[in-house]
Amino acid sequence: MTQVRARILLATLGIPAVAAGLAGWLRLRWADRLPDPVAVHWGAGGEPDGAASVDTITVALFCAGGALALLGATLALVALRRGAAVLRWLLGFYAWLAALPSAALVSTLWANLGAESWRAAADAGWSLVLLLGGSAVAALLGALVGPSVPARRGAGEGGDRPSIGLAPGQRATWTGGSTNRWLAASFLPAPAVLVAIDLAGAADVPLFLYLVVTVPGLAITAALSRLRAVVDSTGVSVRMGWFGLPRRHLPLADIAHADADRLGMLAMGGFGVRVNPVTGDTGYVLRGGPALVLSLRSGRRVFVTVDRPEQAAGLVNDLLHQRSTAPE
Amino acid sequence: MLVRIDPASKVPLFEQVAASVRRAVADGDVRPGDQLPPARTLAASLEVNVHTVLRAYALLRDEGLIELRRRRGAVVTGGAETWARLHGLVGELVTEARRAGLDPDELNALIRRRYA
Repeated sequence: MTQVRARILLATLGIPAVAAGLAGWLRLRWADRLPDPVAVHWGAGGEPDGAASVDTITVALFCAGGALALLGATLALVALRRGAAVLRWLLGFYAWLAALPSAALVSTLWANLGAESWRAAADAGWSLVLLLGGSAVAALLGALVGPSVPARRGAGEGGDRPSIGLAPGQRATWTGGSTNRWLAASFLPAPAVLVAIDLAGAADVPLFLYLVVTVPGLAITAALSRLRAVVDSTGVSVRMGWFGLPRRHLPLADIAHADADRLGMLAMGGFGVRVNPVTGDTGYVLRGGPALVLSLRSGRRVFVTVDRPEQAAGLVNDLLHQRSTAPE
Repeated sequence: MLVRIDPASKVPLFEQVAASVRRAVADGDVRPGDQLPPARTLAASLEVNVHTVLRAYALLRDEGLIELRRRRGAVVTGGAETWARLHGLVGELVTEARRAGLDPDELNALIRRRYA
C-alpha cells in the first residue's frame, strides 16, 4: 500500500516537480538572452499582443503548477483511501495538468529567446507545439509511473456477497423494478406555462405549440418513469419505460458477480441511461437509492435502480455459482 | 419478487410458485395494486409450462391474494395485507422464541402441537 501511495505521489507531485525544476533551470540559463518584459500572450494571427515581467510570469506559473499538483495528489489519495479505482491514465492527466504551467513557462520564454523587445518575439506556433509536446511527455510519464488500482468494493473476497441460498437443482427468477412518478409528472409544468401565457393575454399560443411541447414531453417521461428488471438463468434483462425501451439483456456468462448498493441521486450524473466514459460503467437510473450492481467480466459495472435489490443480487450470485458447478 | 421452485420436491410446482408469491406479498416485496409478471414470462424464466403458472395464479385468486384482470394480468389485492399482518406476528414469535433459547425445530414442534 505504501508503495502504491509512493507511486501516486511520484506521478502527481514528482513529475510536475521535475518539470518545474527543468523550467527554472532553463529560465536561469536563458536569463541574459531574454527581453524584460517578455511577450506572454499572442493574438489570433500569431502576433504577440501582451507582455509581463519575467519574474511575474515565473512566480505566477510556478504557483499555479504547485496548486494543481497538490490538487491532483489530494484527489488521487482521497480516491485511494475511499476504495475507488485509481486509473493509470487519470494519474497521467493529473501529471499533465500540473506540468502544464511549467511547460507554458518554457514555451513562452523560448518564443522570446534572443528578441530585442517583447514585440519582436517569435510566432506562437512552435511554442504551442512545445507546450503541448512537453506536457504530453509529463502525462505519459505520469501514466507510466502511476499504479492502476482497481476499485476495492466488489473486488473483495466472495464470502460476503449476497446470496439467497439457492440449492443445487432449484430454479428461481426475480422480477422487480422501480417507478418515479415525479419524473413522469415533470413535463406537466411546460404546457401549464403555455396556458398561463395564453390566459394572461401576453401572446396567442397556437395549438400546434401545445403539441410540440406535450408530445415529446410525454414520450420522454413515459420512457423514464418506469423500469423493470428480470433475473433468471439466462441472465439479467432491463427494460425501461412504458414501451420497454431501451432494453438490455446481460447474459449470465458476462457477469462476474452482483451486489446491492445505494446510488447517490447524481452519482451517474442524472437520470436515464447513463454511461461513464472514464470507467465504462453504465447506469439505468430512475432515482437515487437502492440499486443492483452487476460487475461484468470485462471489469465494467452496470447499475440498475430497482427496489429491494438484495434478492436480485443474491439470485445472480447463486445462479453464477450454480453455473460454475454444473456438469457441462 | 423472488419465485423459487425445486423440481425435485414432492410439492407440486404450481404450489411452489404460489408459495413464493405468498411470501413476497407477506414480506411486502409486492404491494396491493402491484402487477405480477405475465404468466408466460414467468413460465419461460422458470422453464416450466405456462399452465403451471396459470394454475398457481388461479389458486392465489381463489385465496383472495390476487385478481386476474383481462388487460392488466395478475394484480395484488388489498386483502393481501392480512398476510403482512400474519408475517409480523410470526416475526414477533420468532424473536420471543430466540429469547427463550428455542431452536427452529423446537418452535416448529410447538406450533405443530398447537395445530393438532
